[in-house]
Amino acid sequence: MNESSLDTPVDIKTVRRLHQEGYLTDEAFRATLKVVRPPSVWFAWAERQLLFFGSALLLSGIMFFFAYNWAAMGKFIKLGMLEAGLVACALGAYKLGLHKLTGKVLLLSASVLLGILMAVYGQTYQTGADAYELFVGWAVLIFGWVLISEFAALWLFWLVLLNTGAILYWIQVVDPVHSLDDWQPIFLLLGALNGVALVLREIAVKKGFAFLNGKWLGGLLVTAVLTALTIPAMSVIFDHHYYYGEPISMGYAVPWPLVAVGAYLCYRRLWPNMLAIALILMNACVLVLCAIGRLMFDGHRYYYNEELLFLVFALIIIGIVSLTAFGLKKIAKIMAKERTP
Amino acid sequence: MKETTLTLGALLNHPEVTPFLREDDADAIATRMEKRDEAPKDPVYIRILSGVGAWFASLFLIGFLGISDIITDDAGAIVTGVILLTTAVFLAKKCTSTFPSQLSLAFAFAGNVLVVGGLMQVLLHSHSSGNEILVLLLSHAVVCTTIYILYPSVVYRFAAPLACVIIATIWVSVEVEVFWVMHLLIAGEMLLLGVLLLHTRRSAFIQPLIRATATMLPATLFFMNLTQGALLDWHIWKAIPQNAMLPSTAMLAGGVIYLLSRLTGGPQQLRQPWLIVAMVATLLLGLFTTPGVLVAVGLLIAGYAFGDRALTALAYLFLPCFLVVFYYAMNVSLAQKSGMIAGSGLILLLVRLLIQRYAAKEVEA
Repeated sequence: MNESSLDTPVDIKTVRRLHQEGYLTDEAFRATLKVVRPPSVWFAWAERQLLFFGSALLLSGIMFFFAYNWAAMGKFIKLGMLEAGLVACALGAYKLGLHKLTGKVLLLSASVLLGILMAVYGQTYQTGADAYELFVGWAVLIFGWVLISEFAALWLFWLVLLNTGAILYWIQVVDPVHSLDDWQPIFLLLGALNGVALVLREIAVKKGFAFLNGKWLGGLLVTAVLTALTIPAMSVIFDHHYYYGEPISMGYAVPWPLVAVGAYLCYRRLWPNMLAIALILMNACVLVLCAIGRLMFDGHRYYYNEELLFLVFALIIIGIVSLTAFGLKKIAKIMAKERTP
Repeated sequence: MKETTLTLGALLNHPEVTPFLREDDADAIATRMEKRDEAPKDPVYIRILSGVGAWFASLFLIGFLGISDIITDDAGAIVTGVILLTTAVFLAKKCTSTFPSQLSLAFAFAGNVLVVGGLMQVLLHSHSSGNEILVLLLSHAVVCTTIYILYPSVVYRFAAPLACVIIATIWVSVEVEVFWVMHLLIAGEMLLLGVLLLHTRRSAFIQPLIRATATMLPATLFFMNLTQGALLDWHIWKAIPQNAMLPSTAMLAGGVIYLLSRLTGGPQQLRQPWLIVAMVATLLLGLFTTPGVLVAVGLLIAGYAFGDRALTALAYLFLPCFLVVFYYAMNVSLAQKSGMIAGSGLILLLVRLLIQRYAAKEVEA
């Protein structure tokens, strides 16, 4: 037996593949399953998933219930039920403790219910508050809970509230009658907001805040920053005022390359993260193709064989995507080598 | 509790496993693990990038062929499409580097579209209109099946079957317009997924089809709910019966129960208390809930059981999207929706409570 080939860590996929290819009998397969994934592991997984899905469905059902009974419910019942739910969730989180997942989920539920309570209060008493004030106030009020929760999902929820508040502030205060020609600043603001969150998250992970370490959170934040900065850049690329009227300021396209290059260097050297690099390069690929496409098809009046434009652009797409894919594979290989001692 | 971090060697030498191994199993497994018979798989983001890039490139390619008058009639479209498909298969089998692979994928998409378009024109010339989408569906099904066998691209093998089901859904909603036919579609997708997951070897040939089928099922349900709701104000059915989703819910509940029984080792495990709890809960969900919740639960279980993170991610992505669309469904009152969703949540939380008790006993045992 070649020892080195059996030194690989085993997972459920490997065991299933060996069984399907006939290397393990049915009895051996069942025995290996019990060792690789004993019932205790299944139960732990099932408990987590049932808690997550059950809570999400129950909260959604409660929201649906409030939506249904809205007109018929008296204000004291509306507010009373929400307050009771909020207190129950908060007390439950306190009793169970925030080191347990159930406690964290209850705290998240309490945070959601607080916002619903504020919305119902504002609607019932016609406080005249703008919608952005609701979201910003919501974020401020739950910030203490967010800090003590050590729960990535609650941090993400809090960030979503801040983003929503920023967007509504722009719509309701900065440009309430949609008179401004330039809407790009709001996206730059969102890019900055999510960018700060991303940087703080990376620093926190480095300092040992393991609960923020999830790949999904990093990927989501990178996507949020890139999306926010890509939209103004795209607006410059596809600006139809380029040949007449007043073109959009090229300055709106500047943040994207600066942030993309900076983020690439950080994720390549400081905080190695292949997923983030992939997102940045794929985003760059899309923007470059859009820019090339705009230049080619806008200058088409100078070409004799316009149909060739389609063929050339098809080849350019393939070329740039291939280059990006090749680059990503190369970087992944280099980073994997750098990781192994 | 986390999964074991054993090596394969340690697993094969484990006292609970060794009695069930045949004499040469360990050596055969060691030899198998040395073989690098499969090319290293590209990460999912590269596959997405390749697929989307090839799709756009193929559109411009078709544009070039159309505008340049290279294709002037149906036969020309079919011939050009076949040439592109043949070139795609040839490039895929002869070249493994990135640019030719990307080029072959673009050729495959463009060839598929041209052949299907050409076939449609030929068939519709001799038949009355009103069946365009059915003809499109049948043409694409034939082309997709043929090319699936010949063309070893994960991206094509995922996208083409998915396109087939999308066309089938459009056909049912635009030309058939009878709601219960959607239940047949759901049944077909569920059966296909069950067969592929539980009764087929998960080779590189089948794996993309599994992922495509796993995507089809929630996508079809999503569409069914969109067309019954006020979100897009998109009402296309001649009539929607009472308890419109009940047949699909019942079928999916049965599917999840079968999945559970197969994953736990068959009928002999049915006496396990925790399994009985899980099955009763699924039956209750089948009565109470919407098919979307059952699909999410089924995908989650399958994803974990097979170590397939794509299925798990699909379950997490699908549930919130489904709930948003379900909120706007018009065939069910908001009170009923509230009861269904909150009731489903309570069932799941109750199952969790019961499992915690059995889990403690099981771990002690």
